[in-house]
Amino acid sequence: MKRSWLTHTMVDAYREKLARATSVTVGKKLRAILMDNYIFVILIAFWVAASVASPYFRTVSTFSNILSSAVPIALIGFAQTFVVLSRGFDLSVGAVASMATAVASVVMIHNTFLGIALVLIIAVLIGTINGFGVTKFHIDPFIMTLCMMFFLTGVNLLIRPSPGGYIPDGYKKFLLYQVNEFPIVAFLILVLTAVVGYIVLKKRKFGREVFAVGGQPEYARMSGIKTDATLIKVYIVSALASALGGLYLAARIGSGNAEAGSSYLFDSFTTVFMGGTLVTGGVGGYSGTLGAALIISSIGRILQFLGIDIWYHFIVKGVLLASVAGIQLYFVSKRRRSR
Amino acid sequence: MEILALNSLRKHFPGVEVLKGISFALEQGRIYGLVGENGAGKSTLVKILMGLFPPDEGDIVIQGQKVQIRDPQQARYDFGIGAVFQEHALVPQMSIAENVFLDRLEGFYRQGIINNTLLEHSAIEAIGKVGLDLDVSTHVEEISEAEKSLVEFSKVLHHDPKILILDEMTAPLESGAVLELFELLRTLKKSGKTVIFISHRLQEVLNICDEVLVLKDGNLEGIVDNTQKTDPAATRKKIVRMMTGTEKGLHFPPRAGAMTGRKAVLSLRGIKNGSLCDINFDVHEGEIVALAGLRGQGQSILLRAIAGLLPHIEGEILLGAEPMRCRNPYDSIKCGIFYVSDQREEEELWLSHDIWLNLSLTSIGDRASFGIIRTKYDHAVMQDMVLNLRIEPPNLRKLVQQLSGGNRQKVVLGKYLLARPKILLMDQPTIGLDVGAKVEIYELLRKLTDQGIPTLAVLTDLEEVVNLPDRILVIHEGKIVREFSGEKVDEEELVDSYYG
Repeated sequence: MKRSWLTHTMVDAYREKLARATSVTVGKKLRAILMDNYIFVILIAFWVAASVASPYFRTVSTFSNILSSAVPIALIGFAQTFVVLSRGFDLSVGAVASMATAVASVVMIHNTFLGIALVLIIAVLIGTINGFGVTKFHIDPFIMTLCMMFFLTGVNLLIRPSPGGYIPDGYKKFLLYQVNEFPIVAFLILVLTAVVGYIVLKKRKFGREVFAVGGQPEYARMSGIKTDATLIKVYIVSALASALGGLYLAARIGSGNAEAGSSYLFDSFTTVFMGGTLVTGGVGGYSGTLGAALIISSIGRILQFLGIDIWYHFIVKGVLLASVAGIQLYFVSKRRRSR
Repeated sequence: MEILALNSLRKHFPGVEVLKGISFALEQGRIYGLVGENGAGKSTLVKILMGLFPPDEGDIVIQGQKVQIRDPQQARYDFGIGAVFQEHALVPQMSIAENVFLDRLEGFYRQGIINNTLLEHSAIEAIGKVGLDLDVSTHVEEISEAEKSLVEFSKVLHHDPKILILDEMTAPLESGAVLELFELLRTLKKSGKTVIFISHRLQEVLNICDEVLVLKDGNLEGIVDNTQKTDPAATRKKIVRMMTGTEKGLHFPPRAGAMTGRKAVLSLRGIKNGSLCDINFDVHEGEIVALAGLRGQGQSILLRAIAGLLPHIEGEILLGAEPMRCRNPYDSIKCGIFYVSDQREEEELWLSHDIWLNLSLTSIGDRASFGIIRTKYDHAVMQDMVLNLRIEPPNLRKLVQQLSGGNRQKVVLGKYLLARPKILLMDQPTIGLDVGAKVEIYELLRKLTDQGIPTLAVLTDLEEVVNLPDRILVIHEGKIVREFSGEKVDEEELVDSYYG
């Protein structure tokens, strides 16, 4: 990297160099793509190993189960990815998902679409409050969203003290719709999150601003980014995605439950960090989160088919996250050193 | 035509009044210097003009219109003010291309998504205008400080500002690049731009500026006309007098004298790694040795290698006569080799803690019995250190972030002195300090050297290199290419040797 004070012809020469460089390194690029998506390599390795170990694993119904249980994990992970990228935390994601199931189970008796609309409106409100608390009142995101989690849990229990309520059959059937046992809707939702996640985070102004704000908030502001607005939007996106996760969850469990989403809080962090988004913000993306969501939803199934007790589930999750995070840091530091 | 005027602008932060009523008016198509010691209010002024925070009182008038600047977006697009910030406002984890156009990314939408090819081509053009030739997909964290400052400059230029503010932009640049930057500034001036040029290097200010605004303690001390550039020495004297209140400016303590028969404290034998090749020299008792040269020739790497901050070093390091090898900072501190980073705020200090903790922590074990810190004893020792080093204010409870740069550096030195160093390795000991603080640090280093703690320092400022050390080692591409003894150095010969 030599710097020189150059003329326009040299800029042209540089362009040629750039073009040449990109044409030669297809192999390198492929390797980079693999490196960036190592989580899917792990996922496939998991699946292959499990299929070899247990013939029952290789059935459509297993994958159908993995896919549909991955949907809420992925959606809530989507939410957390945005927040972590912006250098924040959202502890209210699980409570927002629970809220969605509780509200849906109460309102959908009257009108399914009214239920969906109401859930989304409340989610926007929650995200806005979180965002304002973090930006305008300078409350640490951890504290702000912790308070929101408690508050929402209380409200959820008021709305739905015990699990139950009514989720319309048509609504359930649509979201859980299967073709030859393959959960096509769940699959499409996952694909949709991947496309939206990629475009919004990597190819739209808003996503780049999220990276900038998470990478170096003060410099982002000095560069002319309205950091407060960006963060408020991040928390709104987070609440919306969590609410969508909750709406899917409501269809799966077929009722409302004030606590249904709480376990997804930890899963959201697991997926985000396993997927390669750094806790320090500004580095990462959604595709890793999606891969990790599929891994997490596979673990339970795989253990079940191998005849291993379900409580090993947590042990495997812990060990897996630690090793993936360790490998990742090793690669990051190696890459840094090689530069 | 008057483009920018300030009327009795005031700003205070908790505990300090930074600007005490600044008024001036700037004409279009001129280059203005803004000088003053650290803490005089220069950077605060820049940040107010960029809308990062509002003034407490006073008006900003742009082209005859009284305005309020709310945020950098507005400063840039409504009022045409662009600033290269001292700290380089670039996001390290993002590419050069993205950084250059960070607040204009929607301009690269094609079918609703950012078109990368378009973005990168525009970025190549933008950085080409300031003479940079870099792969624009490189992340900013991987480029040098000099490149960062030019990338930020290109980012500002592309907004086509009417008023251009350069806050210490030349600090990381080498002299050739500075001259070419000045060429560019003169072209911009001809096309009617107004430039505010902030620098600690008076030579540069006198070279490029038509008028020089001198700030002192939050007041505008005066405006010195420099349009003719006839008698730079006299103008310089005048400016220094206004900045410091005295005529003295920089002066250096006398050198140690004859060097014969002194023992070597630190000896390097064939030190090698990726960027160093075969470094051999000794540092003796009672001397200050400077590592000089162009930027990034391996000076800092050498210091870090000795201190055990870098892995994979070949060769032998002798401390006294004993061979030693530091694998980490803990080892080096135990041996008595102290590395003082040039990133004072990031690597040396806990800014949000008080002087006491900052001074005490490195050597706290010395003042503990059975694992319990003897607080009173600790306090007494720290109080002594604060008074000895003349840290202002001499109040152990003061937070380090409230101290000026010079006092911060004294805290860093004090911290290491308490741990009984055998040698100090200092990377640019006076970086970012004002004239008065620099002189104090020189005197302190000389005093320590006289007391038997030699210093090996990376120096970049030519005046320092020529006047402070007893010996100068010039490094070029990882090799020591020349050695000068401190007395009577020919400046031209020295600079010439920088180029290998």
